[in-house]
Amino acid sequence: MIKELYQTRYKEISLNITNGEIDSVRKKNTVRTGCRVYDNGCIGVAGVLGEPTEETWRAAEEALSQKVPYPYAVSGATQRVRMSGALPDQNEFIRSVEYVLSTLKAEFPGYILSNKISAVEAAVRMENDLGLKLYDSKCVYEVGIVVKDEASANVFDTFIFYVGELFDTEKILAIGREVLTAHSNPVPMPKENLPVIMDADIIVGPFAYSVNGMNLHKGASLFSGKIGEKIFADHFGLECSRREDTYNDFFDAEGTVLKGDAVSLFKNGVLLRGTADKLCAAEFGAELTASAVGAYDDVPVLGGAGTLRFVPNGSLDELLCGRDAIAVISASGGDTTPAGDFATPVQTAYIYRDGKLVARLPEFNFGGNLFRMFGEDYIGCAKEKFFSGSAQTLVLKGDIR
Amino acid sequence: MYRFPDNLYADIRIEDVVSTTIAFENGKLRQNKTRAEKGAFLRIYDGRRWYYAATTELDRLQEELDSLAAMAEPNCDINETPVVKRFQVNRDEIIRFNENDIRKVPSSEKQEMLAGYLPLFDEANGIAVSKARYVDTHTEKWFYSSKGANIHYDYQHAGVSLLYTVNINEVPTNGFKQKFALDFDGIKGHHEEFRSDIRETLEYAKNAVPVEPGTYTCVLAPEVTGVFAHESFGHKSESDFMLGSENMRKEWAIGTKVGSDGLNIMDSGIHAGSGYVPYDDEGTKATKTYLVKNGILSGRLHSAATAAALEEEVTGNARAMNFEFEPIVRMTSTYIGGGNETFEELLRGAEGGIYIPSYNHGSGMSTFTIAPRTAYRIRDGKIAEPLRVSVISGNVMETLHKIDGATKDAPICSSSSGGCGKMEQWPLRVAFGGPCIRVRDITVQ
Repeated sequence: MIKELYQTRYKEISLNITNGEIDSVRKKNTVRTGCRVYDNGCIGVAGVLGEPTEETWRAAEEALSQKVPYPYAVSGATQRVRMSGALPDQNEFIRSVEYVLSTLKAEFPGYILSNKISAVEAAVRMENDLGLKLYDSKCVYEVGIVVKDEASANVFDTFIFYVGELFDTEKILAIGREVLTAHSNPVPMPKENLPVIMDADIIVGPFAYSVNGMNLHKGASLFSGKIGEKIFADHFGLECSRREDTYNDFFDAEGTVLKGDAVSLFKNGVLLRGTADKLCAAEFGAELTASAVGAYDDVPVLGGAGTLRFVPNGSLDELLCGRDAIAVISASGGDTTPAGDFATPVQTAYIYRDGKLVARLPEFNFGGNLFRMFGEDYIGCAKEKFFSGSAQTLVLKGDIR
Repeated sequence: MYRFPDNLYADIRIEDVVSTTIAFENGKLRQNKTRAEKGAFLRIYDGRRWYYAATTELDRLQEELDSLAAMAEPNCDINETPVVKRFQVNRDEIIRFNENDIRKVPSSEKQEMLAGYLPLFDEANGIAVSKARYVDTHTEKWFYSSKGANIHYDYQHAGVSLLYTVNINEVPTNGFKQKFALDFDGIKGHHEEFRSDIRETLEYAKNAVPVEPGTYTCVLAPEVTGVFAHESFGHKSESDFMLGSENMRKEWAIGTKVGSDGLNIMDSGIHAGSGYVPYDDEGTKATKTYLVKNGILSGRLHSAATAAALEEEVTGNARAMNFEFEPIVRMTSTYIGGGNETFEELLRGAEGGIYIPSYNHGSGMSTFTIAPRTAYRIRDGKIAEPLRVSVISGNVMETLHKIDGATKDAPICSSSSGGCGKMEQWPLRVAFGGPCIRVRDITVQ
């Protein structure tokens, strides 16, 4: 019998903003532990809030009687630690946030700011009898300011986002100033079909489903039967990445660690492989992609949409070649048909010119067929993040209505 | 009991949640777990700012409360502040699930019941991947406040969902159906409904053609009407979105005409389903709130803070996703009231339009969106060929005026999976529903 511990620690200071001021301070400090035991090709898991006790391990052994199959090699003999940052002093953090809010309020009195600014410290630990010892810990600041134009009847009008390891007040203010200045300058929709700068998370969903190894190998994917085929443009690439800049843990829920923390799924438009956990790897002879996910007390399963990263092929300036573009800040509610036709309403977008947002556009609808948008029409993925954060920036051509 | 600090408002919400999750993937057992989590959320208010803590160390609640109190500034007039004055002082116990407590059913019995649905996948020809999932949750909540509230209630639900992908002509189409019940017996024996859903999905996948993007009259089935009510108007009724905006208050003044004559939209935590909330997470008793009555804006959803800010009364809509979060203004069961047409009459008034019987997800801001799972052309007053539609959308402010027909029956649909998302808090269990409705000028892509 092999015993394995999978533990998550989560600490946060979260400041809620109402009407431009901090109206609440929330503290969290939680530890959740999963005890896993492997025996005779089966897995037993039991979870507990806090540290495990002998009773938790006993419950995990009892769970073996459910006969959940797990006839795969348990990860072992790897030791690695990746750590960055820790929660800030609470009072100092509050003062920094108050400075950002009061500055934006003073400079842009016609806007109402709300929602959250948080400092989050998250750690994951996995250890087992085979010598596996993995630990990943990071502290990230998350700014998600919802902005309402006082003059509008909308629930909200635009957003100021920032994710980073530093609470860089001047950078956050610069983002806020750029967004709010552009928002104050409404213009009609341009007549020409401009390239669209879009957060990759808006459109990654159909890729996540289609590169899922189980879907791919069992004929449930748009890409089924196409491994080794060129599907998209030469400059299109997609990988599973657990590099530090993605803010993902460097190991998955089965303890798989990738060489260089990344593996290609698409290269030069050619589909190389799908994602795989140990079940998928065993069933289809696929390469592991560190894509197993699960809560602290789950049997790990194939997931890993959060690790998908488009491979950059140029800076934003290089991709745009001096052209204006439409930068999408909010596009909520879109979806893709089974045949790959993507469509989404775009609630908030700006004209992007010479490296900055300059004017606000009316709402519009955006879409196109994925095979075309990432094939003959594909412009690329920018090396830099459009706004500081974990999401990538795609530059796409599609139908604007 | 707890020693609440002087000259501050404080409350404590304790949640004891036991849930079972069982999953089969492609016929193989992948998960069978029972999770028990007990935690508390504490709040202190000094009239200026709230201080919150989420903890699982229930034997240290007094210490945690004292630590939060140390961050606040005592206020001898705290009970006279508009927010604190609105907190109700209810003392009540509502235990509904003793007899049929889902925790008493062995997980082996739950697994066996779920396994009984697996042959449905094998019967159908063309299913590429399949998942069968059972989820149940039993929750007990206790709420205590410095004003004297003392509430204890329970809630439970169970659900089975079947998810699958069929691949016809190299086009993979997803199918999904779930059954919800308030006890274990309620989710047994639905084989024929699931079988029929799989059959319909296969037919849809074989015959669906891409829709020509444009503007259409749409007929929405009750669960789609529900998500429409939730996304198009429900979120607009959450009054935290109005704080600080004089303009919004004018635009959304009670008495404003916001929809067509005869349109009624309600929210109620009383209904026994996935939106059942007998007391909200500030201890306010559930009510039925008319958001729209005969097309006129009649009410909105409140926490104590928003009710105080807008000088209105609490409605029982301050809800938290779980013990790790503070309550914010959320919906419970949101639904449109019934009309006076038959389904056939609705279809006759939507010639060339689109019937939408099911959906994948929806969203609501200035534009609401619904991503249909399936859709069909309406021709000669009947449901005709299936259509592939990415998303339908409309302007929230305009679309309610464009509802021009509704059937009499208005069921409220509960769900055992997913829920409503608002900022960081997702998913929160809600219910929604209504009649079949006909809506003009919907953008279809």
